[in-house]
Amino acid sequence: MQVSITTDHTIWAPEWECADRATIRRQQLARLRETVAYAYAKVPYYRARLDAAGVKPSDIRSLDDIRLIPFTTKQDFHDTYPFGLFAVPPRELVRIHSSSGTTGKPTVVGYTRKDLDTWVELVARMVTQAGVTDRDIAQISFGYGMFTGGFGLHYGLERVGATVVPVSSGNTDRQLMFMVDFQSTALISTPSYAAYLAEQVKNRGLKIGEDIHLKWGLFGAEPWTEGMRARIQTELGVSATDNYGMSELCGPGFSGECEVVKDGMHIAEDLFLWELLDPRTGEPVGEGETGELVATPLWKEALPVLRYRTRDLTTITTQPCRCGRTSARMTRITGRTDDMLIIRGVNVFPTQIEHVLMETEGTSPHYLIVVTREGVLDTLEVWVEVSERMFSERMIKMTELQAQLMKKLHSALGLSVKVKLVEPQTLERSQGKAKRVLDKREMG
Amino acid sequence: MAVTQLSVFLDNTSGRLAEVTRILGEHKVNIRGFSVADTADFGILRLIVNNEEAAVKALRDAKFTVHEGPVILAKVPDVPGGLARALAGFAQRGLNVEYAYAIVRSIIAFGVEDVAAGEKILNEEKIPLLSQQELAEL
Repeated sequence: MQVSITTDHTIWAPEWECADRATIRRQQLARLRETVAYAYAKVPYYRARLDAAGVKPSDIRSLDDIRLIPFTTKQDFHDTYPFGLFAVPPRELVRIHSSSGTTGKPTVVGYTRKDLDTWVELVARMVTQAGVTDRDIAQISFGYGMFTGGFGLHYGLERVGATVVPVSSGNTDRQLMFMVDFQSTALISTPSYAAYLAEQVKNRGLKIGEDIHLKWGLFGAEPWTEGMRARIQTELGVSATDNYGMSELCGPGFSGECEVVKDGMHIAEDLFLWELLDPRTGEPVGEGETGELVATPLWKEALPVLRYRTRDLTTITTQPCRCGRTSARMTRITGRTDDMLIIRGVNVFPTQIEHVLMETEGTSPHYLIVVTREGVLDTLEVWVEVSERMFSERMIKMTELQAQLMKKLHSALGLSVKVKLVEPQTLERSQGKAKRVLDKREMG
Repeated sequence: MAVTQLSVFLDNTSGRLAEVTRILGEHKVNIRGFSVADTADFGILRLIVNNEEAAVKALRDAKFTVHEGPVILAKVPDVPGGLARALAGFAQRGLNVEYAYAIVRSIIAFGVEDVAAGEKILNEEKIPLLSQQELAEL
């Protein structure tokens, strides 16, 4: 079994990634003041928010003063859909992406040309610390389209000079054909898809080192474990790193692990201000304690976002890393403060499912979301209790109802969903009344 | 003339059909005929009983999803070609039979798209029908 060991690692932006903390903090404060003043001047929604809180941009004199500013949540994106949080008119945007909203409408984000350039730099840092250089052939198995993952990694990898293979998600036969024939050296995907590919490599008798030449695995967009990392590294012969981002902050590029040490994801601190808060009180947690990540991008023209509540739980250390970087490092996401699920890299909120059931049936029946891992792929089932309203003695009507729900959920979530019609009280019997999600995936 | 058929939604798991029959038995409801249509996940149990009101109440109390709807009960002659005559009658007049099943004493329950039209057809074919009252007395 071959596991690559790096001998020459480079740092894409050493002036920031290795800066002393005082320098980083000075930079953060200067940019925070600009960002707050900019959002106040350009986004009426933020101006109203800050006015209501009695805060003027000039009140921000230290980094701690950020706590005067109200939080931004996914609900704010929903309430201002599509462009109400934007600081520039649509014609100044050069790209729009979106991600799942909590109900019918997605979360929309946009970029000016300068924003895209900064985002690409952020991803370039991230892929460099994951080991990728201009000598690599990088196969991107993230979906392209409205999801920020595909395009985000694409342009960052191009910037470092890697040869990009934009194969996108799905079609495993084709993925493996290109991986073998092009001798791809880097795989960019969700960890669950990487685990699935590893299984397929084994099933097809492909040999690591002879047929498969992968060195680097950059895996993100969903939670995974050290156990999965160990398995993927062995089975694909890669050095696997975790990375983190979300469209509300820009997409991938917020943080990523260094290939050399793999002990926490380095946050691009010159461009993002992070806070780690107790989700109930909103007060900062102590060093080494788990809290909700709250992040403020310090560079965005199109869509300034102040204190975004990610709902992701992590811990952060500011101890310098043995790789030479001084940036703060966050651990894997250990949980959520809301009920969002991540399935095959797609964010799913129970409220989205409720919305579809409501639309189809005019009333929300009892339902249960069941997530399972079949082999290495996550599957989503929605169990719907059949009320007398929905019930027909005609089998064709029932199978049609089932098919219609699956189709609507697929289009709402961007993910195939199996719908199972169940007797009333099935869910109460198995789960107790209030529970809406049964996650049977092994994450330990 | 049509009689009431009860349809019950069932999970396709072991013991559900047994549970329905147990409840009906406890409530002294006599099942005179039934059929099950199923998929991998769920089934629809169709029931003809001697006391549909008692049956519906017992099943609803036990939280089953129950639908009441009309079917035609016909005394199809118990001879070769007897059922064929009834079905040919429906076919010739273009009435779609969605399902059919036998209940006690070679009485067949027909679920058709238009119950009144179906009854008229069977009358023309001289196939005797059963009323709710006659069903109760079977």
